Amino acid sequence: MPDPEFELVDARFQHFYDDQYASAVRLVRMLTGDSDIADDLAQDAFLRVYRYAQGANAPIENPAAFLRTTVTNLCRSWHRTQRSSQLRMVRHGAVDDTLTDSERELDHTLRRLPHDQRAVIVLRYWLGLSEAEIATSLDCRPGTVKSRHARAIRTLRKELS
Amino acid sequence: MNHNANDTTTADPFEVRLRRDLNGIAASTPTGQRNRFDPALGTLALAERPPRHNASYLLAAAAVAALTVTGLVAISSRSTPEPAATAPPASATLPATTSAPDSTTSVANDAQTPITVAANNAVIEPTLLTTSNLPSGLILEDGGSTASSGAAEVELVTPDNSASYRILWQAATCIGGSFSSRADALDALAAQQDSPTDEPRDLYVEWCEGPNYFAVYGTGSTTDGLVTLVSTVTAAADSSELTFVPPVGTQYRSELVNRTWSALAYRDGDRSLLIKVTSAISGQIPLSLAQVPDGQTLSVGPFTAYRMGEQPSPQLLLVYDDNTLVFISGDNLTDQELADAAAALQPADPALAPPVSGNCETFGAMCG
Repeated sequence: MPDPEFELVDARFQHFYDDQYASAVRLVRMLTGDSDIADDLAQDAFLRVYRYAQGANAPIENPAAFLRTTVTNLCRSWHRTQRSSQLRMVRHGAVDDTLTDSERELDHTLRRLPHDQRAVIVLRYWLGLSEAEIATSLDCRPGTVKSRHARAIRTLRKELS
Repeated sequence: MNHNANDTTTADPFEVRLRRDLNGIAASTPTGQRNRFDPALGTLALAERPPRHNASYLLAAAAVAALTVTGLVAISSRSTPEPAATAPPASATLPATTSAPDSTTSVANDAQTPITVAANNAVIEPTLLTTSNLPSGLILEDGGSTASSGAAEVELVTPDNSASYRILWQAATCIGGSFSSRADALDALAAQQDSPTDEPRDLYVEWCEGPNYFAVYGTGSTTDGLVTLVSTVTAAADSSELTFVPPVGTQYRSELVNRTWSALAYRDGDRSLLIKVTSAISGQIPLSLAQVPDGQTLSVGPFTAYRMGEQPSPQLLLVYDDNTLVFISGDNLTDQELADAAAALQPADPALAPPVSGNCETFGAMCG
């Protein structure tokens, strides 16, 4: 017989999952540039949050922010481990037909930014986060966010002009 | 996590365009909704759920964690752990199918002499491992092996591990202008000039030239340092060799193009153990281990291991023999259980880890 407490956790978490799933998948896509792994990494992020919530003594204060940080960390790890895989893209020349020329140009340029700079751009301009919120998500100082942002914008302005 | 929740609007046309195009990219992302959150799809199944008999998910998910370590080894860091001892236990020798020369080399002078290295196409079989000290209750759930191949690669590291570089190259037909020329790539890199307040950071640059694609990654490097290295890189037309001028004092090695990965997974409810091995070359391993970031060195039996990760998912990285790098990770195991299992590593019957068809489909990120 299922433990009712677990069922309750599951029900609450299911609601959270329903509410946040699409955003999490999109955030993975934005941070990695890869739609194919977005579902898997998002699922992994939810799993980690779920496991954490089960073991925590107190409720997670801001589950959405917690999830966002988890997604960001997973994407950073993915980025480190998938660099070789990126080489295969050269041969296959993957093109996303659903993007406009302008979006595709931005997408290509973002892929060439270091992960941390890309993350700052996505978190600021897509999620609309403040510097302090971005610093929390990326586990760095606000000053670092500022310098990464400046470098990223400089590169983007040059590449996209 | 809904986007634009705290939108910081701007009148800057460039930032307006940026915001618009990011929204467009995000909107194009398929979000094939998984209607139910299913913890059993991940690394751990809840204790309340029946054990899964097909452990593909377990292997694939656990491999994500293990591969994180792999990436760390390959990419390096700014920390300065001592290289691990590599002496294998007497019982730990299985022959490699091919031996390869030790290509770790010191660059000891300031002559800035170009170095040419060949793509390391050696095929090295790691030793499949199990443990004679399995945590109580765990049973073998699944095993498999797969081969992977990628770009040729050279790694360089400074003597104090404060900076490292990876140079990857392979034959490629660059399509659709996705990658720029070296000059344009260097311009883009130069645009990211360091400021005095910057901490050392990860940088990379990629370009196409002739029939080759190149990527150079720097960790703990300055922009100028990476630009200097990139400026010297050339490859043979058939991609068989790479020539470059290593930064003064760096050690370099050519990484394996072809790797074998094998793993055995053990499980008891929400407790699990994954022993994963991959190809390595004697003499190159210490350089790899020297680059493990933030690893805590500890002795486990005859091995020196690096401990990474936190409870409930600690991981150990160690060298078993001259051909085998080991990643041993656990979920909901104590540090002592993991260390005891690692200390008792021993060769296993290769039949326990048959080749996995379709490579990455089953092993996911384990394909490396």
